[in-house]
Amino acid sequence: MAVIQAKNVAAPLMNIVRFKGMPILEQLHLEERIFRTSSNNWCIINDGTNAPTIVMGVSGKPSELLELKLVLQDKVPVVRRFTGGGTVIVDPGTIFVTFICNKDAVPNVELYPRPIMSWSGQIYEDVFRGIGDFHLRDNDYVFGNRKFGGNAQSISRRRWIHHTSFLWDYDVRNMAYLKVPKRAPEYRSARSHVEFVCRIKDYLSTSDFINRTVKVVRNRFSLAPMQLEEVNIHAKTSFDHSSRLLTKAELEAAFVSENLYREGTGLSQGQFHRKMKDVIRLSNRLNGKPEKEIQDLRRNLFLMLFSFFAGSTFEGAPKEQHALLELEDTVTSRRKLRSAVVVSSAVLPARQRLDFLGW
Amino acid sequence: MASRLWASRAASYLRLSVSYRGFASVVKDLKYADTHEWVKVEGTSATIGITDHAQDHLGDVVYVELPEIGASVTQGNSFGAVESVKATSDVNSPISGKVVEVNEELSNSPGLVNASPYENGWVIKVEMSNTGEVDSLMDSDRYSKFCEEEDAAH
Repeated sequence: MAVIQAKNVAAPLMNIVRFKGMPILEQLHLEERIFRTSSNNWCIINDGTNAPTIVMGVSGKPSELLELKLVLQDKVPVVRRFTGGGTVIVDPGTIFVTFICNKDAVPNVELYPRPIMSWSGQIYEDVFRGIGDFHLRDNDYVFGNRKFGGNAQSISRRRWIHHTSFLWDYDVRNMAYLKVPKRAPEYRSARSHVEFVCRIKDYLSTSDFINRTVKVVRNRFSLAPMQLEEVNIHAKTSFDHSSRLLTKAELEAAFVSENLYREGTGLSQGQFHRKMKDVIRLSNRLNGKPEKEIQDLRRNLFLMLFSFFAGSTFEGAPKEQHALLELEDTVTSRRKLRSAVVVSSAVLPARQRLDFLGW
Repeated sequence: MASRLWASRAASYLRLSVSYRGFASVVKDLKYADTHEWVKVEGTSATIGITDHAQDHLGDVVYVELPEIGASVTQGNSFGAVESVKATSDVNSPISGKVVEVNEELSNSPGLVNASPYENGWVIKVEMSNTGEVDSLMDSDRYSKFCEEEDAAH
């Protein structure tokens, strides 16, 4: 008894907060706020989120990662989170476990992605000991070669966050919203989602999984249970979150742009983006707007501007007209262009376009 | 070079983690922060990027989050981020000032940070507000030692 107590005295303090069914965006906001404004260590566990939601990493491109037609049709919310990593669809069967640590709390772990990932792998090796053939494989948690946990991180000067979405259970139908990503780990071997993932449900109940996790964490940290209301004592109450819900307009623009560029423009995606930047710049100039730097097209905004521009008349200088004609020639089928413009004009009401542009 | 490649391939096949303790390169005339960014000072202009040690430890960079032109940066504070291996890592500024240029190439080719951390992989250019801040930074020799000490401690 005395030995165990002595061990815990030396162990760093960690606040532990547990929820059930918290909406994922709310959880991400809480986590980012704690990560950026608290100086404590935290473990956050959310047993299931309230509704199916797609969650992309900081640099995720909707047109590459999502079956947008289906997502728009079924109105599935899409969230961009503040951490890196890939795309998941979370629902009430997903269990979330998050660690937010100071550098000093785990002094043997260097503040880089792989050492932190490795540390987490050791935690879960302990959690799943004797339960399944657990491995940390290419930054995923797997049983054998089937993934059941996806990870993401954010690292600052002195702190890091490592969070995981665990597939305790999932609805096969939800996998239809996600494309097989271009950038996938080798061990995936081009398997479909259904062939690639597995469920913790087949190994443990939710309470067993969570209890085992808490037990392992308790061996390494001195745990202080905390209620949600108390969190505000340890972190700023207001914070400028970067995790956000993508708007319908953004998803529609991504959908239209993906189809337009795909339909035999004969351009590489990079060339197409550059042409679109020129169109936007011309449009701005002709509309008397100051020539400001075009934002990163990764955000898939440009096609809305294109339809707006094409729909407006101009008596521009010959150079501008020539540039536009050059672009039109490049699009092999004028009919396709016109129909894409019609589609984009139809899906994007003018007010939304203007609001969206901040004009 | 080839044996390093073979070793890391063999390691990943065997599912071992390889800590590559090679000597990361440093460039003589640059100044360095303890968060592994470098700065090239030319009068009151500064170019900033991340070091070879940092890019090696980060892994393949797939995305760079750049600040807006005109944004202020403060010594020791984050101004952007890089994404690699499922993580976003803050990039901190070694000096204070105003962003006058960002490396647009990184939007199309984030891998430049890995391939050419001191040249084509530069991240931002800043008009410095306090040239004296450079004195608190490390020179190339001190930074080399710093990297060795850090790696040895882990």
